Amino acid sequence: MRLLAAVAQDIRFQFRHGFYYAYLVLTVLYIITLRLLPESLVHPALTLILFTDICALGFFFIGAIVLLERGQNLPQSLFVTPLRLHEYLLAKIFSFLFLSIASAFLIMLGAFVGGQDLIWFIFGAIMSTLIYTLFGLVFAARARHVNDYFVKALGIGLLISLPIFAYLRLFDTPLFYVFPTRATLILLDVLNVDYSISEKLFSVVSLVIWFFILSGITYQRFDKHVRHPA
Amino acid sequence: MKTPVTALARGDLKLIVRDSTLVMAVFGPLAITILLFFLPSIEALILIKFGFDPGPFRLFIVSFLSLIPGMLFAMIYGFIVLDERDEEVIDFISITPLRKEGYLTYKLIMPMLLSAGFFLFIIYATSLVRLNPIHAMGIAIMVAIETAIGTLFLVAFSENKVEGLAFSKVLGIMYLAIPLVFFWNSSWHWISAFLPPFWIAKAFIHSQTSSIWIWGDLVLGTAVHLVILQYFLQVFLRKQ
Repeated sequence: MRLLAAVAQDIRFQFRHGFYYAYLVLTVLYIITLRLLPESLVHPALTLILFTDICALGFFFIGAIVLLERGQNLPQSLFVTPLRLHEYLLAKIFSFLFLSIASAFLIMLGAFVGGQDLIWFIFGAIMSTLIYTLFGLVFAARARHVNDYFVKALGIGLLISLPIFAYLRLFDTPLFYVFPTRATLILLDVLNVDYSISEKLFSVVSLVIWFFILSGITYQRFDKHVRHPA
Repeated sequence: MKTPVTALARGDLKLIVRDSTLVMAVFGPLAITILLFFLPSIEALILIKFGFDPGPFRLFIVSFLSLIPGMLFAMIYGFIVLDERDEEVIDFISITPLRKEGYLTYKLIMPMLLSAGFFLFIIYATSLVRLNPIHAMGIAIMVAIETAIGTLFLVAFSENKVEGLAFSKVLGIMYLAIPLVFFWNSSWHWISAFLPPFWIAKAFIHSQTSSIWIWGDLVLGTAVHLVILQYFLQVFLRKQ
């Protein structure tokens, strides 16, 4: 119940700060772009849109949100209420999940995209959004200002995005399978390419493992730097 | 063994790295320059791998990417202003002799100079397209004003850094004008003429074809940029 209230509050906060308006405009533009593209390019373009923007929106915004809340000493006040740290963090990632999934759903509906592997695809989109936001939270816990957040988060973010080269068939190495982004790109691409069941299962396991690793790191960092700042 | 020079260099590097903003300001435009430097090789690779010749798109790619550093500087300085406003630094400065206007002038001139400088650097260091130097200077002026427009867009309409970030998402839409000018073979593409990059794309095309219309693009384009800049300035100053 407390978690639901926290998620609702975060969604309200995002709505008030214009996230939903911004993504409404972007969603419409993405739909128009996908409708204008030749048939063969629609699926790859959708994968790239989801990978670089829709699933990653939590990563983009979370730094500023946490910084603003820290600047207003909001976490200190929140943690004297019954709200637990894990609930605070879950509210953050679920609220972004709501916006991402709503936007992705509208884009797919508007661009008439579908297919038989939809379950794998939806799982991939959900897990990617959660992981992206968690990844941002790891850096948001200690960032000093917005640019500081972007430098640190984007540096590592660009590094773990390297599997995009494998997706574009420019360069591939088995090392890429360690990156969560390889799994993301496989599952977001299942509507277009017929991946083997082992590849799909591997991607699911990889994303679940990454989710737990990043959750642990995020919790520790927030516990140390936000809940009990020195 | 540490020589005085390496010690100095290490000290300098430490200073630069410590201010992470600077890293972003240097890394982004540099990455674009390196990418453009290798563009001919990338084009050859695409031709071999996919049997598709991206050569005809070179002008579009160069004009689009040469504006990215400007957008980056607009965002970097926009975020600095947003951070400082949230921390009420601007309120303190406004009662000093520098005043709000002086603070804003400084925060706008820096990204303007940087973006115009990087624009010219990218065009002439990579030599991927041949631009008449006078035309390039005219476009660089538009690029500079466009950067100030970007910074002001983030700060003029938003209440805090979170809203500013949402506006930065919308800012990217402005650059849609470039593909519209290049690929929309209809006079309907003029509906994007209110977007500043429209005029830069037009100027690139007309400069390449040595068309007399380049002067129209430069004059009208600069005028459009100035009108938007003036409007955003008024909104920002009224709000503070």
